[in-house]
Amino acid sequence: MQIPFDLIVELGLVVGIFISAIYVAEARPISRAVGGFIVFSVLVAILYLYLGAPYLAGSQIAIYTGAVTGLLLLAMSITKPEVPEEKPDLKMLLGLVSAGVISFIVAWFVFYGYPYTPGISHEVISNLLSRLNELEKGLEITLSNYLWNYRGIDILLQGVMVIGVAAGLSHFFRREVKKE
Amino acid sequence: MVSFMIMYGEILIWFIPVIAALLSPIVARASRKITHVISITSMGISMIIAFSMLLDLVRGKITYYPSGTVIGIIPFSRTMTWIPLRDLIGVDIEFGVLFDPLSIFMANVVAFVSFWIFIFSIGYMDKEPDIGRYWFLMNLFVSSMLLLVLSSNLLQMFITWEMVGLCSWALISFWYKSKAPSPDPRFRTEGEYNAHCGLKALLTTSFADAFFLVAIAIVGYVTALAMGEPTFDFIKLSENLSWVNELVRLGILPIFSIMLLSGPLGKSAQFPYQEWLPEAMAGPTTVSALIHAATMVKAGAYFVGRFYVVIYEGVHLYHQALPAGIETFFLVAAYIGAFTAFLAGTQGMVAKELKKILAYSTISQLGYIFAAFGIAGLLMYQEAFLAGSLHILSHAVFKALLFLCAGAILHTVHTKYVYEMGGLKKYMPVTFYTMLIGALSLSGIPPFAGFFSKDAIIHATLHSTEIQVIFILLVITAVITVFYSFRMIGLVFYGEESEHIKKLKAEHGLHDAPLVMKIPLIVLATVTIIAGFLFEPIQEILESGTISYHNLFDAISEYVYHSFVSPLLPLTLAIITIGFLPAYYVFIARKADPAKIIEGNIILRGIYKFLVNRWYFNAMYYKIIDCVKGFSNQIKKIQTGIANVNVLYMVLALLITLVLLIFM
Amino acid sequence: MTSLPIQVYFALSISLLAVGFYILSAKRNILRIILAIELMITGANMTFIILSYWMGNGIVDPFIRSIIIISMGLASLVAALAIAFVILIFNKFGTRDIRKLRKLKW
Repeated sequence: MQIPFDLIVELGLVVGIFISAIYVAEARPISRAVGGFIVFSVLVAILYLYLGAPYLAGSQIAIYTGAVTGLLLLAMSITKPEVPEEKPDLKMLLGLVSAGVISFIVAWFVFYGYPYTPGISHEVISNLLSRLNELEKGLEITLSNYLWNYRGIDILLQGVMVIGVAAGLSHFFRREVKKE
Repeated sequence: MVSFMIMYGEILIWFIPVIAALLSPIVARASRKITHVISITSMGISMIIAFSMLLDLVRGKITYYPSGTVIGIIPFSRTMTWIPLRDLIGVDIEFGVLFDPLSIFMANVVAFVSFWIFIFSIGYMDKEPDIGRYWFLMNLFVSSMLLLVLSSNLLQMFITWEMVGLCSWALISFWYKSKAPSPDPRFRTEGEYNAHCGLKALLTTSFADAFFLVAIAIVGYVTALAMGEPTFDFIKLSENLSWVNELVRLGILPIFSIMLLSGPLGKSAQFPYQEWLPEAMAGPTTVSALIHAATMVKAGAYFVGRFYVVIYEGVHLYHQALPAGIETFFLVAAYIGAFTAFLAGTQGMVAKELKKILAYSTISQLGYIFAAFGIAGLLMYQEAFLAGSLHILSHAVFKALLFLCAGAILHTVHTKYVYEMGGLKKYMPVTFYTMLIGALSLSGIPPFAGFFSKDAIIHATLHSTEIQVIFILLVITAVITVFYSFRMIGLVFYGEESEHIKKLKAEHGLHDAPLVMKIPLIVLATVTIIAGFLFEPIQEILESGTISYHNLFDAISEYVYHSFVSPLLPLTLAIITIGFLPAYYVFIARKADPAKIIEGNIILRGIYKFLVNRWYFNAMYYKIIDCVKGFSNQIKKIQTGIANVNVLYMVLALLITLVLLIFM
Repeated sequence: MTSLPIQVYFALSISLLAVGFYILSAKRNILRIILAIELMITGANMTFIILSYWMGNGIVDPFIRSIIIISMGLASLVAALAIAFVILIFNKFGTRDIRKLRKLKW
């Protein structure tokens, strides 16, 4: 039986992204939330890579894992409330270095290709343009058709948004009641 | 052929005060005297240009001075396109000057009175540290007022209407930083009280102007329906009166008339907007004289007159049919004017502050002018229009005179309560005589200017037999006017000196006003004496735009003769006697104590309480405001400062938008 | 095309937006809120990529990719300015808790 390699990767990516987003929301010390955010952005970059957009993946890692995380760590260190000096945290340093190494490896693969990603070559571009022309001629599905045909998913997504808002409201009021 | 108005005079007349306004705060930091010189010079130039426009008006066409080029035959307007919106809404916003007998007459009144008030304020505000701000606002006010009376279309008039309201607010709250104890228990310092008075004036007139703006928009709409192209220009409105028929066809003519009238009622402090003017006396006296007696409050009456001229010229000059239904506007104006005259007169009888007596008197006399213009429009009766315009002129002059005299008294005595003055006749002789002339003119005693104009108004109300109510109200108000003006003279100048006066006399000695303040008083008193005799040529100018006598002296003497020997003469004498004798007995000769008279009689006590509380209108308005404040206090609690709550509101708004998009 | 139905990816990107909203409305720490903003921007970008992948039958349109790179650049700009605010707020108020910053009310 052929291992459904693609299915495992995709499922892992989807579940991983969702779990890491929840972790960002709920992790107690803020540094762990930043760690969750690093995982999240790396997984999103891998997803982009899987969907065939290598430069996007690279810039996702460079910007989110690199710049935003760096800025947040900077902010956390500058705005620390007064605590006595400790020795520098080795685990944190190790995490930062490993994040940098992973970014470097992913960027290497972006520039030098990888068997599963279509490299950006001339044939691909001309192929793409001809397919776009065909697409324009044969475009049948419009947005309203899509909304009707997949109305179930539509309602599900709206339900997810409402649940998110309700969770926020209940969390907010719970905190306020606890204060009093 | 001699020509009078200088090149581009119609622009310079209001633009030079703007330059003076912009220069004043800068120059005031360096030298006070140069600031005074700048303002007086600019006002003098405006006065000369206005007078030159009058000379050109007399010859029927406007020309430029050096070159003699004729730029138009009266009435006409010079316009330019300000905002070209013709592609978007079909009409450009124009900017123009209207040359018309009424406009040029009002411009002269405004310029002349403003000039002498500016000279007075050199002396009155001589120790004021914020003199740059004062001159800035006064010059800006004069330029807006001149542009208002000269403006050629409704939109521009509305813009300058709001500008004069802004300057009025800023000038009433001029002393907002004062730390003296407040006269009103709701505020801590006098500065807060002054700021509240200014805000009250601004909010009342803005509330009235909201309806006015809607009515102006309706004018644009119905002119688009009737003539194909929307227009706000007065001459175009008068050339083709079919827009009134459109209003009747749409069925909105009564509502439109009331909304259009709301703006003038608000600006001229008539019922139901009459409460802001007595509080506006918190500002400096020169501001009260200029804005709240002579010029800004006349803007409302000017608009009613302008509307009458639009209809009248449409009927007589452009030969349109008189549209039916337009009488509602003038009927309401006349009745409200007469009622307000009576209302304010009764309140003036019991007022305790000197400037408040004059404020109630202003509201009352403006009621006369509204009644006159209302009757003019109701019956298309030109005599009433001329009577109202002449009363505008004479009231501006004698009310400015009275306010300036009050300013001189306040400058010397440092109290505004009339019961703390008394016996000032021997210390301030020039002020006494000029104030007496002003009071005689206000009471309508011949041969002063007030007699001719007030008599003309009362004579005009007799023209139709249907409006006797207005006649009765105006006559009763005339009696009340005589009473309170002599009450004021008696309380201030006669009788024995109060404690306050004795204390001041011991400390500094009481002196009359300085020379720079005496000169405008004397000039205005002279004008109010001789103006009555000039009313005949002024009437001719207003009516047809030219003077066409060969012998001016004969025409004047015939006018004066007819004013005296008229069926109204016994009525006038009766009014003066009935009003004067009680005032003389109680206040001038001091043979009876007014407090004891009122205490003794229960009816008089009730009436006195009712009048002192300003017919309870003020209390009622403040209760309404308190209800609105309570409501908004509850609503404002939804704005917590918490960011999370704001995010939830955002999500709520997003959901509502999505629902609306799906279902609409 | 992907093995999972494409709607799962749409659900994923919308759920990122939902999680972002939840953090914005329920959490106190300013830094967590900045993370939430980044999550939401990522969710929006991902929606575009998924849609372009699906409509382009397996190829993400290079034009869309360029726009998303611009969007990511703007996201980093927002984060940088927000960090500047956080540092200034900490200097002025001494707290990282937005529930304590309540002066913008009536």
